[in-house]
Amino acid sequence: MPFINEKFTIICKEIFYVLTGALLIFSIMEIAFSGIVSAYININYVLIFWIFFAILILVNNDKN
Amino acid sequence: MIKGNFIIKLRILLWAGLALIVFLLFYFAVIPGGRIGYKTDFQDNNFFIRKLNPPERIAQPNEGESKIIGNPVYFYLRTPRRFNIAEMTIKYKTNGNLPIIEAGVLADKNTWKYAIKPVENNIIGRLLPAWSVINEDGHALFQREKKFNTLNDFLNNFPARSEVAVYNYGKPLPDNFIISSYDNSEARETKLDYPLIGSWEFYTYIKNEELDFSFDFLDLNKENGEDPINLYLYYKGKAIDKKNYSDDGIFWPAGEIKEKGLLKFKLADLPEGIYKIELKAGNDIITKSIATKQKIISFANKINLAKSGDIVGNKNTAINIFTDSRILNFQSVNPSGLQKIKIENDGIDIANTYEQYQYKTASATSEIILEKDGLTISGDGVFSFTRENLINPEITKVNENFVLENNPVNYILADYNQPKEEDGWKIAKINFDLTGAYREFNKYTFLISIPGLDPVDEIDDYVKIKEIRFDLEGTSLLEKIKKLRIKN
Repeated sequence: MPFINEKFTIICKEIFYVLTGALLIFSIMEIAFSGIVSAYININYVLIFWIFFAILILVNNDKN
Repeated sequence: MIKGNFIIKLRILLWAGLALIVFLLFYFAVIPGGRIGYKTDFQDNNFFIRKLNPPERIAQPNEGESKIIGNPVYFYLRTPRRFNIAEMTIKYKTNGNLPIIEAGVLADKNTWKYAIKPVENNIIGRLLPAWSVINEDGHALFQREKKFNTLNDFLNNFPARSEVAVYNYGKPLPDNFIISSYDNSEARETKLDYPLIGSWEFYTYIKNEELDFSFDFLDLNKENGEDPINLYLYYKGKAIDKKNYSDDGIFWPAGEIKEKGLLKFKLADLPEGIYKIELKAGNDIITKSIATKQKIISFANKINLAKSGDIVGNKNTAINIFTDSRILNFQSVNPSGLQKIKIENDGIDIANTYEQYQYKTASATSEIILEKDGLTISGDGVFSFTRENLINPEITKVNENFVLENNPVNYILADYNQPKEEDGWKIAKINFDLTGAYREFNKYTFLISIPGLDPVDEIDDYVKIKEIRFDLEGTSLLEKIKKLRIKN
């Protein structure tokens, strides 16, 4: 199933990029205005998702 | 092959999602409409309304309820910006004999003064079926026997002050406190040289004489932060003069005692009446002495006597204090302040530091004889160093010590609404003015006061809180822009 695998890798990569951007933006926002992000979003969960997608991409790259 | 189109669409979708989240985060931080609501049921950690503290006054949360067993408890309200008004809705249940429940917001950190509002007053609540009530614009007049038809009628024909009591009544009363027997024609300067810690307020009386006060201050520099001194002179509830000293520049706890010098109030041609002088200062500030030509000095609610040995050398002489308070509280944070106190023909032993000792008296005026200083005395009345100088211009307040039986009070003025009941829970709404409230690290400090709740007594009394909700109102973004444009 190379097509599904390829599509899955691309989606994973795109989500990973957005999560990287989110981590960066949220961190800057939180440093600049304390509590602006942490009042609604737990940045730790964003980091866990980011690591999860990074692992998925690495495992997929290994398979290919 | 994956089409490039799909990747672009996916990318736009994901980044637009992130942009939307960032926009919403900024929106909830700025709150452009100026209104927002936060609520908590205390089941989880809420970012905006923090848990009740201290933990030893709270029983373990049970099914999402916070059970208050000690008095008072505090909590923070964290807000992303300043607001002007807060409407606090509290859903609760009570058990036991709790005459008064109040909530407050911290107004002044130096003096730990809270702007207190009523949640429930059972003393007034009990009057509702028996007394006649007039409600006008949020003000209520309770009459033992109906004599007045409107609030204005009552205010224009104000009865004798002994017949009136107030509760949370913010408007000035027409009552003019005059002492007909007062005579200070042979005025001479006296000096009160009992060092006092931090803030205080006292009443004095002026009749055809000059108001002349001279205060000598010291800065102990024991605590962190600035130690400003602000002195206010009030007449009929309005500040008519102000004197102040800025800090000596030592913000750290250096322990270096610094003389601040004298601050004076000297005013002539003042109308006859009662005047109040208030000191707003932290506990590092010591009032070494008060020199005056006035005859009367009556301290309101509290006298916090410093350990004079640290400041002016050991005195170790007995101090006589007179009060009209019915319930007296004594506390010493200093081992040298521990002592046996004589009150009328009785006494109380202050045996441990930081422990609050309470004494109830039935006398209209009591004499307290202290062995030495280094002690805080507080109560619901006034305190003076001579019996003849004891005057209390305040109209009786309906507080937890108020007893209606055998009381000459026939009228009660109150800004108070009885809480509603819903599914066995009481719901009270309290409005706070946040413009003068103290806000630090984006937090307002609130208090819930329930006099009589003691976590160590064996009485099963408590207040269970189901939910606290805040509806906040402040300047909208549009109003802010308009204000800025007018300024420019």
